Amino acid sequence: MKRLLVLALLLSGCVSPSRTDRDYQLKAGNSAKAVASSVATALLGARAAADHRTGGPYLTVLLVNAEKDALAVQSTFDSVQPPSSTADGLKDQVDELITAATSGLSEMRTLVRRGELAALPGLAQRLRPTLDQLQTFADRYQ
Amino acid sequence: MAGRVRDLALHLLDRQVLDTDGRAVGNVDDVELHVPEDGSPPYVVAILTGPQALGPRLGGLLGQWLVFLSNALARNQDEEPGRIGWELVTDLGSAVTVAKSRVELGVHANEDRAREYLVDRIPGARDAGS
Amino acid sequence: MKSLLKIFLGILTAIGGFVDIGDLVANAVIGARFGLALAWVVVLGVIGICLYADMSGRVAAVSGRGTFDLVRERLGPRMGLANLLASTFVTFLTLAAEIGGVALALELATSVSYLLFVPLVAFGVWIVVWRMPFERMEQAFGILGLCLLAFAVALWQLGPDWSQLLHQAVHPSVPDGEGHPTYVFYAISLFGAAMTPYEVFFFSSGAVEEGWSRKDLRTERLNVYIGFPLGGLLSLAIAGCAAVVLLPQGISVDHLDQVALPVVLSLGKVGFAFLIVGFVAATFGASLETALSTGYSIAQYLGWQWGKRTAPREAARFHAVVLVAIILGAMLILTTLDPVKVTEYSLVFSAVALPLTYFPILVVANDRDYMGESVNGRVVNALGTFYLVLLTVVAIVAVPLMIATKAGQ
Repeated sequence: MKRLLVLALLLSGCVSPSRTDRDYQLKAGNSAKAVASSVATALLGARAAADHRTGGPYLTVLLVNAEKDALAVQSTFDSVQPPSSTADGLKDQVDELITAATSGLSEMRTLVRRGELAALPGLAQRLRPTLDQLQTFADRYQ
Repeated sequence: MAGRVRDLALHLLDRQVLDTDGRAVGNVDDVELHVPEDGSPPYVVAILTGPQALGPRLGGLLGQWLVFLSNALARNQDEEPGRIGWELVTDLGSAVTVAKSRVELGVHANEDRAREYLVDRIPGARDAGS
Repeated sequence: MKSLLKIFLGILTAIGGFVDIGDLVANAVIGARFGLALAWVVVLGVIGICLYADMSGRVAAVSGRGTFDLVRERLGPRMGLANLLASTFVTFLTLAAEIGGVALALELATSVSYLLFVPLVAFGVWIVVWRMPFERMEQAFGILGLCLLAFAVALWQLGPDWSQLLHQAVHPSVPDGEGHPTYVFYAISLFGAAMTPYEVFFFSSGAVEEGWSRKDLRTERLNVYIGFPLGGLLSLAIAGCAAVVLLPQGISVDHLDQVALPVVLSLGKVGFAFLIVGFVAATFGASLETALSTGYSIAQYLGWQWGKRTAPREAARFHAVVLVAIILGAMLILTTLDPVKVTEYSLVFSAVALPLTYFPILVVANDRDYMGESVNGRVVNALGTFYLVLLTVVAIVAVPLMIATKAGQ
């Protein structure tokens, strides 16, 4: 009996449940897209700040919301178990990108709160690759 | 009162009732009919107004709920529906006009309650907007 | 000359008062996602609201009675109650969304959390209803709402490819990567935003309060047929801004700050200032209208004395209902439910309530007992019936679509 159980478990690991994998890919793609939206919003805000188009209060709200959204997406995505080992690799990929995004957003938010708007453009530049990678990922897995 | 025949549903029920100052009293939520013993057709004796009158007419769960709510506000289990005797009706046009003022008619339990417990306690309740 | 000024003011009020939080959110969300591919829905919605607002205004002017009064008389208490419950629920939800909208706008200006503004806003809405002159307040908020023209100016400044935008609008097609159900779902939300029920109640009750008669009908028509379409154009400008700035960046709109982003980028601090004034005016004005509409609809159904012109103690239940509605609306927002989400839901439910709201108006507007010679003409009836069929279809598919697309995910 025990051997049968082990066999069943092994078999279930080998058969790649492609539908669940596909679902997970979509989830990953959607999460990447959502975080990309937050980062893009923040970058546009930074651009507005660099052009002296806006002041502290608006930027603060913008960045706080962007960060909050990205963190929410991250926690939702992390709460889903990857269904297979291939999916595991995907999870690591997305996680890395999202973490880079959320920490960048957090830094921007802190800067604006302190009124150090001058450092924003530099931060934004550093976040740009993350944004591009998120968007590429999202396009791939949609 | 001269016996003019009007379609009850069309010309009387659910009409707005206005008092002698032109203020809204309520709607004709229901009517009280008198059924003569000699078999001649029943005629309207009074207008009934208020949730206690509307509830039973709506019927069903909704109607019961309406009555329940109003009784709860009244803190009185068996409040009677507001009644306006037919003899007070002076005009039957697009609205029903009656001879007395709202205060005199006294069919307004909920309005009086709202006024007494809530509205009058807020400053400026006597000033009309414009 | 004086009447010309009055007409002008009326039109301005109609334009500025057309846009509320529902229009702001819907147009921005959709512009950022579909570009102008749903512009036709705005056009359709504007025609519909013009048609029915004019009808209900005419009914009010000719019969001297408000919509709900007549609904119950003409269709019976049961139908009237169904109408009332549907409309009141939706209007209440809209009221909550508008109060949230004012708070969000104030947050944008000050970075103080919107939750802290909610009680202030609620109190402000109530005090205006309690004490301030009706016509004056409508005009003030309507005209200040014109500051939202910043969207139109911003769109111009952004220098978009107009031919491309026009192409999008005239060739409505589902963009790549979007499903048809999602497209239809958003179309329904946008439609609900353009034709929200409270606009009609407020319009007709306002007409009765101001004592409109037949001779005011021409002014009323001008307000409606010039003001509302221009308001619709403003809606399209909001969508256009989102389409030009947010869509290429893959930004999906979830917050009011994103709605403002295109204006900030192109018009800077000045544009932003106008925008905030416009946001606050539009949403505050709509808060007043929805709060009053809740009171109007219940009071008219039950035959209470209602209105802003009588002293509050003479219309105690009416004012009690308005007060309670405002408090409950504020409380809903204070549960920290995202006001933007509340707005989106209010739009879907608006769409569901539409046929129940508009059907009685069509019936009453055809009733010679009330309207005499001013009953609907054949064209109006044909159009009105077409819209009613459309509204019924929309109402039936709205909720299933919402569930199927997970509210447009």
